[in-house]
Amino acid sequence: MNMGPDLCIGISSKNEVLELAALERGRSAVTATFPATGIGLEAIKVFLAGSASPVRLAVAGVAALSVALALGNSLQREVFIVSAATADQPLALAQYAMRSS
Amino acid sequence: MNTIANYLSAEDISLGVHVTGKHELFEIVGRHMELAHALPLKSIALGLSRREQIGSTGLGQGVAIPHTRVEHLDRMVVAYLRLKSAIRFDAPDGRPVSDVMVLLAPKRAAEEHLEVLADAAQMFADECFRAHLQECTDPLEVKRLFDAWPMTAAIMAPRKPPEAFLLQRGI
Repeated sequence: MNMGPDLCIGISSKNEVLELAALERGRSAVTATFPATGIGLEAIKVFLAGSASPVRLAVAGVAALSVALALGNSLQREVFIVSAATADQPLALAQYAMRSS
Repeated sequence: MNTIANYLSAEDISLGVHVTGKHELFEIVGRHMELAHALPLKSIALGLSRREQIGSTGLGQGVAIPHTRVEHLDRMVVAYLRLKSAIRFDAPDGRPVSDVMVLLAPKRAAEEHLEVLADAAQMFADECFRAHLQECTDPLEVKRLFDAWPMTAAIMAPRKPPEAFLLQRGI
């Protein structure tokens, strides 16, 4: 049985902001909004790097590929680029990442 | 009110701090946390160093957010230090760091930790905010600036045209 990672992140990439939801097994989801700038991406990387367990991300929206490449370049990290038609809200994306195997 | 305003007090703001590197910076932070919050110096300095070994907490633009989780802490503790001289921090843009925001988080405070990181990123991504922060000369002034966010972004006129503005116009 595939239990999946402990931490799943959904990111909805918009023109000026990156809306993020973090879903941890057994805990309620948390959300935050980062600026869609170098500092915003680095701050998300800093958050992800602080996680001791594997992380799975689902990204949708503006420049989703660039965001995915910037955040997914690490061991213990899987990234899905998701069509906005499938899920476009950060929590739905985090749930998508949680379900995917 | 933003989350940083909730957790940052004027007593945890230090300007003109002289350090020569990350190690010395984390020792100074640890010493402050011991004196001001009765937290264990060694474990704070070690926690910050260990986190930094995983990857730099430099965000670029001279800003870094070193952080660690602390046993038996009941709420987030935030400190802001402006260094007298910028130090190497292995930041993604290669620039040395002079604005340091330290976050100490309770073991299980993912929500607060994420919110504070997001607010810090929003603030420091704003060129106007960074410029006004540099003009502050005492901790109370700094505290007021953090408290006023995000109002500050709307009410403060840019001090100089941003780089992109100049480039667009071929200046």
